[in-house]
Amino acid sequence: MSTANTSANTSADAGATAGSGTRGWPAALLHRPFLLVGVTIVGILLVLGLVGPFLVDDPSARVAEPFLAPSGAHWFGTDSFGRDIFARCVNAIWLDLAIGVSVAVLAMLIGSAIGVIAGYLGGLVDDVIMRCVDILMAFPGFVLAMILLVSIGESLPKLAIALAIAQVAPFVRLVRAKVLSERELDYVAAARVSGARWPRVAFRHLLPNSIRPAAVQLTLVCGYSILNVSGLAYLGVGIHPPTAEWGVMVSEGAANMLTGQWWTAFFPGLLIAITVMALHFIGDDLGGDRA
Amino acid sequence: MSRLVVENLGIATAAGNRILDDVSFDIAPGEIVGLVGESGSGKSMTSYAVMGILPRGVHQTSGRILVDGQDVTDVERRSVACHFAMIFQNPRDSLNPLMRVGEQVARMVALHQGVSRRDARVQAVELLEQVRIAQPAEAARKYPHQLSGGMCQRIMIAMALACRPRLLLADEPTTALDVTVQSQILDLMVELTEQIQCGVLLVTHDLGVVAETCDRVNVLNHGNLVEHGPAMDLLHHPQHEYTRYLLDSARELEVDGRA
Amino acid sequence: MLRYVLRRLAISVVTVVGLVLVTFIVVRILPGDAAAARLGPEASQADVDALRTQLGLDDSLPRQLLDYTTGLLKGDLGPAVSTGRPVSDELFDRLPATIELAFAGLVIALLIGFPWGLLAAARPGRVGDVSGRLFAVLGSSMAPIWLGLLLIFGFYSTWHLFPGPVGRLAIGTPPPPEVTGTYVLDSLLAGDFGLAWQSIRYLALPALTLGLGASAAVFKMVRSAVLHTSESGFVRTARAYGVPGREVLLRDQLRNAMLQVLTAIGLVFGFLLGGNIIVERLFNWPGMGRVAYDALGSNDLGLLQGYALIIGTLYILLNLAVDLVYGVIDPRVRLGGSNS
Repeated sequence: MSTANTSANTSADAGATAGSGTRGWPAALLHRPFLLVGVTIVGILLVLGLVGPFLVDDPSARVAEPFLAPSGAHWFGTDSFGRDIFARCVNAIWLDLAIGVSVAVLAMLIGSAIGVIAGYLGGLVDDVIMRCVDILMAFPGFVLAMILLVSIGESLPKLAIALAIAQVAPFVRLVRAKVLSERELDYVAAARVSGARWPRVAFRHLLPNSIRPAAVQLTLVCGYSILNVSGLAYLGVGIHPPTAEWGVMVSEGAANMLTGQWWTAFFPGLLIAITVMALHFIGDDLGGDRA
Repeated sequence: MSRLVVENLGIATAAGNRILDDVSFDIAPGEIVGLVGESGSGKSMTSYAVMGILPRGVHQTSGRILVDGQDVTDVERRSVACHFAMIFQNPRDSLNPLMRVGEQVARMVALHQGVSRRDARVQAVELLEQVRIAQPAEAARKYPHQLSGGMCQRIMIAMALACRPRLLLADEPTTALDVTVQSQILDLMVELTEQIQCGVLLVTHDLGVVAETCDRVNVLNHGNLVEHGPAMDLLHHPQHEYTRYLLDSARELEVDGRA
Repeated sequence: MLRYVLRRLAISVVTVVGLVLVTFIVVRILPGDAAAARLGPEASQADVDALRTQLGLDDSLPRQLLDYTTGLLKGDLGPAVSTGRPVSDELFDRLPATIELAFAGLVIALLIGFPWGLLAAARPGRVGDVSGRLFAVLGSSMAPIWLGLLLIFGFYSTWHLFPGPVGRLAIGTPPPPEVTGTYVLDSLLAGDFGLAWQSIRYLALPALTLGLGASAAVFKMVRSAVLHTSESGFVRTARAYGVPGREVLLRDQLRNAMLQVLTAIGLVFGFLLGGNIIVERLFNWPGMGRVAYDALGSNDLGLLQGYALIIGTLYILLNLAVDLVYGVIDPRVRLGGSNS
């Protein structure tokens, strides 16, 4: 049976299989079904997001009667304003992915920089930084992002910043832990002995070698952010109607669920779930946790 | 009759990499047989295969394992079925950190001798005494982190005795210990082997340990048995090139150590 | 053990102080003005200034911080400008409802995630493991609001198995006499089993919404913590000596994985307390999250600040409790020091 095979694969060093990325990645992808599925879904979304807006109706125009059920003409049906839900979903792809990616990258940049400094300098600096991280982690990320956003005011860049700050702490921890083990290695000593100053050693030598765990976290945070945006939208913070954004669409459709027009909230929510799931598949696989 | 016979044993990973090829050896009752080789030569895997606890993703490809003439190749949980016991390299890691050591020994007594929990506890303390632990009743109430490495290895040996072992597999039992503690543990093993007439397979890379304890030796190189014979003959008149190489590097180490 | 407890306590106190500072900074120092935010863009400058004076926002920052912290020590979180009542009253009145919901969510998360995670770790790569991991990915990929809507659509609108999203009890039903503030417990204490059953039915869907997402997290943590122990020496010993698989799993692996599992449970409970805000709005559950949602609508930053502070403090207390419980379980902590 194939089960015996797969179980052997999981335990026979994650490292060896991870390294196999170098020997022709298309072949390696076939042996990693979860990664394959994840990458395929994200690929399809990107293409659809790029080409789609030119092929579908105007997302903000009334194109038909309100509350038409899904049909050949309107695949995902129409909403309370008679707008085509499929068109709106397709138009939202770029916005949602862009928010997810920018939040994740921002959080990783800030978190990794702080993590490297904490891990490399150690001592008091490390203590202070880690206490701050504890404090940040005492808030559920969602609540922190929410009050930050209310406090600094709303706009797309501010939304990204607030969500990123809420996700910085895990990056700090991951990178710091890696730096702590990495800084004892010879190449770091060599760089130090050759007279490099600490910021150079930390950022040119340590950071590139310590960033791998953070890269895994990156895909997960990208997913969380898309979820958080939808949650904030439901509370009326962040992105507002009539913007075509998945979370906004779910919130707008929430009331219709009770009256039977399930499609208005169902399809945008489904797209969120599929996208976040694909990102999880990629992240889990890169993290060495595969089926 | 031989206590243990290993015939044409082969081991491979699921990916098809061979770890052990066609290895055969035997152990008589009361005899200590060494299995030496460098790390990666397959000696630990040999002991795991005999014990029937190969790690996930590694399996036996050929050969038979006989105990007192009976084929046990397909027997599971050999420790209980065939009275096998095993001790390991890092004694403290080999004990459950959240359980009192007396309880851990008692658990094996109950499992292997089918006695009640209370009797098992009493016997466990007796076993601790048998492995020369002073104040055994008090020691039984300790947790592994409160005991030294040597003490933990004694606990492991007591656990092995709880199985009334016919065969003891010792995988680098003294490597992680201080030199003085090493010889105490080895002496204890030699004495108990004599006493209970079990067979011992001693897996080690340390030829000093072999000289001190083993009756016969098997030399393993890259999964192949390259030489075997009585310990003293083999150490003084090695036939195979690889054995000579092992002896030379051991001597160099010794000289370095003294310089 | 005493040193361990004191150290944990000290860390918790430091974190709570930090929490107070952070909420203070976010609300008072960051660009943005609580008074202006409250009154909206059309308010006249005079009105804003008046409110600023009323809220004490014109004082120097150290002065404001001092007033704020002395207030906190007395249990005073300041007034809620949107309702006129004290912030602490607004929130603490609703605390039992929030805790009841979060706790029910936790129970569901544990019932699903814990045994499944254990099963997955016992037989990695088998059906139970692969299906569990798919479930975990699925569970953590659904927006809570969407999951809640699906549950409402299925169990209420379509099959009529559970009541609709109208709060803790049917509209017009008087609540049980207050003892703990949690309706299930209070109605049981009052001997009213019918009411208890009704409370449970109203609790079911919101708790399921929270619990399904959280069970994914519990599954992942239990699985990885238990799986991690399967490579350790003592598990190898137990297997070598023929200890039955189930006993190895429960007595050796699970017990040693408990630190991580307990930490995970603390995290999940904290997440449930904070994640409530969406579910409370969706199900009209009158808890603290609902207060925070109303505060969002009326731009009452002081009330939001109080909400964040209470959620954060609860979370820190929870972690402290987990650490202390672990101190009791683990002899290495309880008895201190490694050998010597």
